[in-house]
Amino acid sequence: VTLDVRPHPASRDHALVHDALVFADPASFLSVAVPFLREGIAAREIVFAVTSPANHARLVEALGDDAAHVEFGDPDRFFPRPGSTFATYRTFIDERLSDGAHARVLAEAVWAGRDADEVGEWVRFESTVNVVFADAPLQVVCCYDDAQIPAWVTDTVAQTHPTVCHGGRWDASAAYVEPERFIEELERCLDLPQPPAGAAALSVDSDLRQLRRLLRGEAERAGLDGDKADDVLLAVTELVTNLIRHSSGVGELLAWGEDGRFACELRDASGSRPPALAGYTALEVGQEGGWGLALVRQLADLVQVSGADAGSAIRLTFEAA
Amino acid sequence: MRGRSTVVDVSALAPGDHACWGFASDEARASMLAQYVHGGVERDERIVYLADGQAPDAVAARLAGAGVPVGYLLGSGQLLLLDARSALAPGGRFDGGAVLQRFGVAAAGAAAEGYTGVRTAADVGWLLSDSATSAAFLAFELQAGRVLAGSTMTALCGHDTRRCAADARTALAAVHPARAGDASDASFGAVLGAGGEVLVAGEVDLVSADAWRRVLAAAACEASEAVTLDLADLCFIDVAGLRAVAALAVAGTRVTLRSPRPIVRKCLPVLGVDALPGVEVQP
Repeated sequence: VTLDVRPHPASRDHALVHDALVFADPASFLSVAVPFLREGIAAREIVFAVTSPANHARLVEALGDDAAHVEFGDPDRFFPRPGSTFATYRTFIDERLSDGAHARVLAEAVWAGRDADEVGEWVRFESTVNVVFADAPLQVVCCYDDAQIPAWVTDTVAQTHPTVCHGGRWDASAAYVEPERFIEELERCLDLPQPPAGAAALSVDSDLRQLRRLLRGEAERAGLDGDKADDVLLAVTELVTNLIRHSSGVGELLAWGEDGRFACELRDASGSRPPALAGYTALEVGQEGGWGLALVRQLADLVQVSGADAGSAIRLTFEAA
Repeated sequence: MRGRSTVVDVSALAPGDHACWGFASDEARASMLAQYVHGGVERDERIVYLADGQAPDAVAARLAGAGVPVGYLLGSGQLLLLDARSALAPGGRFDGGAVLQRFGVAAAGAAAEGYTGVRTAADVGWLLSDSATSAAFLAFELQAGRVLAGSTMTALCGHDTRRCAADARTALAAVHPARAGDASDASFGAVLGAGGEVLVAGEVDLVSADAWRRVLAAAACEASEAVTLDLADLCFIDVAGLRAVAALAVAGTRVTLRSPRPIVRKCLPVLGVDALPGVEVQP
């Protein structure tokens, strides 16, 4: 395995470096991960690794004494869902990197056990971070285990990372797509499965009080506790408010419980969608839009936007547990 | 639980009551005013009506038509019909403190003349047209609620719903514990507590957003440096509502948010409201 050692991006000290490593076996993982972490240790950077337990063990063994200089994170805590991972990164940047420190992160999201909907949102996450953390003094290598991830996700890696290491070679990704365009395409292609026949149809108008009362009943019937039901009311209120304020105001809301989850889907008859990157960037006091969606993205376990020809829809999913 | 306003029968309003009253026609105004006057006559109170948009003489004629012995009441001095604009905003400027002072003088005068209290009705919709006067007037309404409680005074704050913007009607309804006639059913309420804090109840969302901003402006105008919002009975507030609170702090008012419910509290860190300089959250 040959490894092109890139120069340290000193000229990009305060800009995100977001690269991907697609590896076929533990050896090719370690051949990139270990030098990446050691470079950071030598440069006295904050060095972070969030990987699968197996790769964690391999790194500890390969790094030897150097492992003590690496902070290891638990992937379940770091990557429970895209919305809170943005918040986790933001807190990390604010708390640890505000004084000029630089960090490198070796990140391996765990794909096993995630359903297709979740995987789709993680793909979106990978594209979005390029914009949201564009100015962060972070160097991230996202690690993809070729054997574990769906083939279509592998295909997107080069579209969501400016540089990709494949088969031991780092290359600038010719397939990289600007996040806004990538997300719009992702939304256009997202075909949400039909809600079950028994889904409740709730009327969407300015009587949000009545809507919330009905929604709480539906959420609790689906097994959500009071706290989770609060999340539903807050998030759906923002979506309907946006529909009335920024779109046609004409739409329908479906709500249903399924497999320990509660889902709400707001369909916009006008077919318009929120801007691809709304609700992701750090909120500034004077900033006009994006606040409602920022709350939605934090509270819902899954936010899916679909712009299929039949009209647009935003589906929120909340876990009962 | 402190809550939103309740619908009342104006003839049954008693000392200490503070109600918002909406009317959509001169007939509706005269008929409800007549009931209010009857209640005052039964209680042996002095009755003062501050009219806007209609001359006192015309009001007198309509009240007479509604069966009120206007001639007798005006002659005995029990009923006073005044022009609202010159009484509440002499020189064109509304000064809430001065008006409250005159209320006190009027109450003492009525007591000296043997009346059991003062029952006031006033047309106030015109005070909500521009934003500075609106803030000063709604701040006065918050104060008035506290002054009225436990006093011998009763107040009915009227507005012509045809001439009053929707958010102004909602804001007016929000600062009154009771409502009558065509007053709006505001989704939230705000009254002043014993310590000067604003007790907020109900729900704030898209429908009440503009009225909420008016009430916040009044709260900030009332206590220009520091505002305490007691949120124990606020069941819901949307992002725009919380951003309006944040805007107060950004504009330099110290804001204390007391006893927010979990549904309100969980939004504060997400929106960064709790981290703003000048914002304090108390459990």
